[in-house]
Amino acid sequence: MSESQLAEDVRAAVEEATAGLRAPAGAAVRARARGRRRRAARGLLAIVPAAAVIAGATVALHGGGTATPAVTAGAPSATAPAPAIVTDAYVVSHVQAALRGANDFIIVTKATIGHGQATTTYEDLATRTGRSVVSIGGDKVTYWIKTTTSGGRDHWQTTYVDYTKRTWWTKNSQSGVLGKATSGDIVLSADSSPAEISKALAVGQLRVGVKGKVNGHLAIELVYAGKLAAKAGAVRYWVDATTFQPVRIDLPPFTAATTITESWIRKSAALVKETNTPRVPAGFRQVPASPAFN
Amino acid sequence: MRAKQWTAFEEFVQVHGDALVRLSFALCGDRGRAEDAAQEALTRVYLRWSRLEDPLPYARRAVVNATRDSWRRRSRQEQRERAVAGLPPQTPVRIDEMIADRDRLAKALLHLPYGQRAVIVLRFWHQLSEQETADALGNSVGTVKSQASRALGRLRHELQSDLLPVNPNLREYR
Repeated sequence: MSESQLAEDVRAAVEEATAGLRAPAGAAVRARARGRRRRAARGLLAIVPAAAVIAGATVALHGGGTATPAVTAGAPSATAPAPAIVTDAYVVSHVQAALRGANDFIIVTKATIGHGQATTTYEDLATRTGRSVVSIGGDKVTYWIKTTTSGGRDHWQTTYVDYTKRTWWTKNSQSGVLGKATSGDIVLSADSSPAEISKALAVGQLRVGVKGKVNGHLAIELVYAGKLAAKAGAVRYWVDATTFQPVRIDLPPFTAATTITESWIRKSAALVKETNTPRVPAGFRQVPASPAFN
Repeated sequence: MRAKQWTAFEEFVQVHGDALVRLSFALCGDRGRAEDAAQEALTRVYLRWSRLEDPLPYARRAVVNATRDSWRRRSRQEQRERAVAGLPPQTPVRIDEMIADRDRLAKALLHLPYGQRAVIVLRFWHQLSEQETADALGNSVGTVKSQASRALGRLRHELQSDLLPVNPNLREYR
């Protein structure tokens, strides 16, 4: 293995290991609060602007000796800038803009479906290829699925690696003839493409809901409001209030097992390669493909 | 800090905050410690903000130092607590056992000495030059080169133990 290959693998491994990690909400405000406390403790308040000195001293007088009140994660402080007031149209246009850039990212989704089974999928929308890592207890499976469409059908090329049994297989399969939507309703699911979500927003079948927090970050809810909502249940997407990229999908019946977290990692050559190129460790035995898969 | 500086600092945190947490996590493998170390580093950046021409290299260096400091501090504290409780000294925690699902290369990375790991992460993940890496770590370029070489050698040794190609279309590890 060449040094450049190894370096590229390191880059991809660290990229994967740190995917989805984010700075705690309010990190800047907290840094300022801590910084001011340290300055006060060091007797260096004189170097900050006079107004800050007065403000800090006032707080110190009323706050039991600390220069600034403690700031808890995600909680706005008295001095934090007020959040911008945005309209639904603003949210829709920014979400659509973010979705248009989806091909520049690898989409990472994580789901836990109970019994300790967790699935993390890395998807390259440009190539329609996904790499999924499934963990059940100590067992681990990784599989790649590349999707192409021809003759009115989806075709799936799967490579499946079982790290517990040390086996692998490949398989080609296909869907039935793909139907065409006859009604104007869009059915949204966890697998809906950015284009479908964007279209649902454009026609008002996906509407801006409440604001909330996902993993400590301000997020905005998008609720399915199409005619099929009552029948199929209303899928809810959450988008980050800053990047407008999806961060969570809640599916009926809205339990922990039907919650999918999502993060977008900007593409690098190594990450694209890892997502798109099946890799089988040496010594693994090739076995017949599972008929149950696909 | 004046309003303009505060706005610039906020933007800096917004743009680079996630990357700093990820850098710390790559160095320690613990999410809580990574967030704490990144927060500490941001505090240090805040305190020096008006004197920093380019805050990012300083922030990286602060993260590397804060992550190492938090690790040492936590370790000493745990040992003290065990001593007070009359328990025998704890054997070092195997970090890879704390991480349920991680690529084996990332695990191998966490087995490297801290200095070598920091060089690898900054050189090959952040793609800094040798000079930039040396600046971030407060080392010489020569030290960075030698640590990178030793680290890659160790990683290569661990990876070559059992990964071999099964067909020409798959990645080669020979």
